[in-house]
Amino acid sequence: MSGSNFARGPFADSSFGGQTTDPFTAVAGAMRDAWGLGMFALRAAAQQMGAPERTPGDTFAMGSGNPFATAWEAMLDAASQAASASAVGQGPMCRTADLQPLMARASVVAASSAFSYWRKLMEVSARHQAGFVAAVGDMAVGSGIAANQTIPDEQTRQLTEELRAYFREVGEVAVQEARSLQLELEHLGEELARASAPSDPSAPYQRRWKAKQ
Amino acid sequence: MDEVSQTIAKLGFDNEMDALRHRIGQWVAGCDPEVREALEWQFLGGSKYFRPLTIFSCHAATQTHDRRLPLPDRVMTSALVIELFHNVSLVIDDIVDRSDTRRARATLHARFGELAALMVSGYIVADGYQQLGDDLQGVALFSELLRRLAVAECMQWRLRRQPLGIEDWRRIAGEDTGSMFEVCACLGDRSGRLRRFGGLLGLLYHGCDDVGDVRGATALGGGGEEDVRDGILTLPAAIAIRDPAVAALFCKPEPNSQELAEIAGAFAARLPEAESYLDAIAAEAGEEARRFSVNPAPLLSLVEQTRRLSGR
Repeated sequence: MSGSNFARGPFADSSFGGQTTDPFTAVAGAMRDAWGLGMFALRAAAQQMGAPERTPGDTFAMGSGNPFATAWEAMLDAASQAASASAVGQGPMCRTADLQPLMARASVVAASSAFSYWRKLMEVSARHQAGFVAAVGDMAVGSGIAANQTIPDEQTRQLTEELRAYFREVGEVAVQEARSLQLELEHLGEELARASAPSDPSAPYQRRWKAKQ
Repeated sequence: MDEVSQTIAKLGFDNEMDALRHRIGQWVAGCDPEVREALEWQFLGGSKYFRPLTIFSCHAATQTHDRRLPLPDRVMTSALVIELFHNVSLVIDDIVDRSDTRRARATLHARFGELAALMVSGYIVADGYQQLGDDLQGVALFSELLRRLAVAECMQWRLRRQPLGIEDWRRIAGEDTGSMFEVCACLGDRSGRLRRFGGLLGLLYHGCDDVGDVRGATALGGGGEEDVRDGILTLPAAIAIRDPAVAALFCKPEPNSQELAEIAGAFAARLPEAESYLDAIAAEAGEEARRFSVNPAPLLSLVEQTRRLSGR
């Protein structure tokens, strides 16, 4: 992997993604950039729902008052406000306003899914980092690997194995999260369908008819 | 109570299994007299029934109602046909592996000859499809299964005696036993949501079988030799051949008996690592069950029962 695709994006100034020196640093850089992009997307979504705008410098800050937490709270607030604003609408969903709580919940489901995806991606990366370090021994991520250095066969195989497992798991996380999101949205869709069904389905259905002339 | 009955009882499918055994008996009795004796030998000698149990469990896991309701006929027929096709794969495996016994009985080809075994396999497949009737989804799933099993067997043979790794083992096992259980899951839930659960369960089953073979070999001072002799990439093998010395022995075209014993010893030494890898797969399967089923309890029991197969 020569450099990160994300290095040309909004995080091109990051020390990892912008100046890669060896494949391991490049992988770590790509993951950090991916995390950054995820945060960026989440923040954009949160701002659409009313969260205050933040400066780019606080993108990676984690802890109290970090932009993700703020964005997250704003989304939940927006969702609950929308839900309570039309809580009186218990009947069939026939007005646009009645769809708001459902749309807000769908937004929260989508945002939760995005967050869960990025969190799992970081967990996978963290878990494999130890394996990468063990595989390359002294030539760990921090010190880099010089171009003329060769890795012994056994270490190459171990490293290849570790990287293959890592790539597989990264792919699996994406698929699993997408399936989960699909399932939750399906449930919401079913709820919507039930809510918008006729109030008395047992009433006799009168077909309109007209005798042919 | 034998081990199979215990598993069935723990999963709570005694009635369904009785009904399935009855269906198998009826099916064998209705087959052409020319092949009936061979079919009786193959089907009435006992089975672990893990595949039908997977179909039943996956069906129960997607149902919100009480699972004591009678199974839909389509699900029961799927269970019958999966048992038929599974037996075809056993007959072919035994011919390829030159195994004379299975479950302490003579294999079909050892008792009736290779020609009869191959022809009976064809007969079972043809009749299996006929049993499915108008279940087009079932037909598609069983076709997928046979294609994938054929590819997996070729891949496993092509990749023997090579210094590969766990990821390669996952690929082979995923297409071999993995595809079988994936299809079982799809036949049970019919929505595709439990497909990955089935794949992980198959991987777990395959790995536990690999580990159980090595453990049996160690305990009995032999056994499970076919895989070692043929240089098949099992889970313990994939871990043990990280050591270049073991890899060199494993890749030898015709190892002598002392070398085979050395290889088996190296595999046995890596069993704890293989067991912890299997624990991770079981945990993954459990997470899939919890996330993608309405009622995960039968699936979690199934994972637990499968995990025991390694004999730990």
